[in-house]
Amino acid sequence: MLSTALKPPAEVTAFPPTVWPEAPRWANFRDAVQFIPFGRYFVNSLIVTLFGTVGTVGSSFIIAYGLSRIRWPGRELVFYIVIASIFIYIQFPVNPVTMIPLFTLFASLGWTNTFLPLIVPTFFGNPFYIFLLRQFLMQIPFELSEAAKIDGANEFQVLRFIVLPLSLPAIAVASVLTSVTIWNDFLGPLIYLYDQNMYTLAVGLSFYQSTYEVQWQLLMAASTLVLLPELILFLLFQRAFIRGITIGSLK
Amino acid sequence: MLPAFALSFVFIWLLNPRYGLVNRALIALGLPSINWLGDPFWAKFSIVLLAQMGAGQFALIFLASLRAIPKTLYDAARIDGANVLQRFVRITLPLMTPVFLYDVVVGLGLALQIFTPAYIMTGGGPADATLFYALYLYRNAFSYSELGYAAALSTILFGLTLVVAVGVFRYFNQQVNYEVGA
Repeated sequence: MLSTALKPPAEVTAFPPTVWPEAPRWANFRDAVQFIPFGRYFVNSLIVTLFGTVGTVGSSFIIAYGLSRIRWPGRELVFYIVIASIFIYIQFPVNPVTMIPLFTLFASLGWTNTFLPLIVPTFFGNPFYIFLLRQFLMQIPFELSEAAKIDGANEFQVLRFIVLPLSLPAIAVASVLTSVTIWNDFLGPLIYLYDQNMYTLAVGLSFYQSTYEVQWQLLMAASTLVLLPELILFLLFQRAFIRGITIGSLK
Repeated sequence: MLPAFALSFVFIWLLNPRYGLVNRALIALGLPSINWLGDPFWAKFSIVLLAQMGAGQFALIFLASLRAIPKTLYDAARIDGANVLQRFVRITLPLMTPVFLYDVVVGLGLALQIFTPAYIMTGGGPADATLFYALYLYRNAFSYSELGYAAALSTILFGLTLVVAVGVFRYFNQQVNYEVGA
């Protein structure tokens, strides 16, 4: 990908193909950014990802807290329903199963072509992250909560001052995973956004393809730029990633 | 972990019949070149090929769980005279069964809902060879404005998903070992 991104137009279709361009053409990146409103799409992607991540992780954390640290009748049943729905919400944030009813709902609210349909649903939690965070919350000693309650703290204070600071590693993992998934989402922006100025990078990139003469070196340059933030995030949080997945997959 | 849309772009390029690296490699090896995305059989194959790029996610899960297996089990087995193969079959595999179950369920769920690669790479063609359920659903809803029909389709998908998930879970759960939790 990077190799093609650096080739001058003539070398892209050259035969035999060169593994690495003879004279890397970094200007392709500049051209790629100018060919479509890249900056605009970047900001759009950033807005959706930021709010979507805050929404998903925030709501999932509170739900996970309710499902693990507070005892109430029917809790186990609700937890099993949440687990069962992982299979449907596997494609996150928009999945083919629920997209039609949600689309009709948001269309009747007049929310199409805004970021709201992409952001608001994330504030209702995601079963996968609820499960991930619950597994972590179960490991925090319950004595800490009880001690705080004896000292007169209410449930919200326990959540805010005892459990939240201890869950930061799990929250970091969930945030990284969520932001990558939302950044990569293609289906959601595709169905809700139809004004070109509102496109996110995932949808905006298909512009390179829709022009009849595909500018491969530009498409590859743009794809590289889209991947870059994820790559940096992944390298920064590599350890957290692997540890976080263990929380989720093994009981 | 890589986004499906970016991979799809790369794949269109790699599989390009004239300029793509894959066909060039085939020609260099003296094999016939393949019209990857233009042939109904190979188009489907290409999308399966692309799906293999999602293996990284599962590899990470396997890696994380492998690390979680207590070393003492292997030491004990070694003292009892078990060789490498025996240790793998008797310790590693049984302890990994919950992970296999998780991966199978998640992988099946993702595959049932596959959309982006087909939408970008082939648009459902050629001859509807890659017209997957989610793509058909999308088309009915947003290209043909048949929202009622699309809603019915998504209800069926919901039922189907549920049946597959419960079926897989029931079938494999008997073989899964939860005892020595890592």
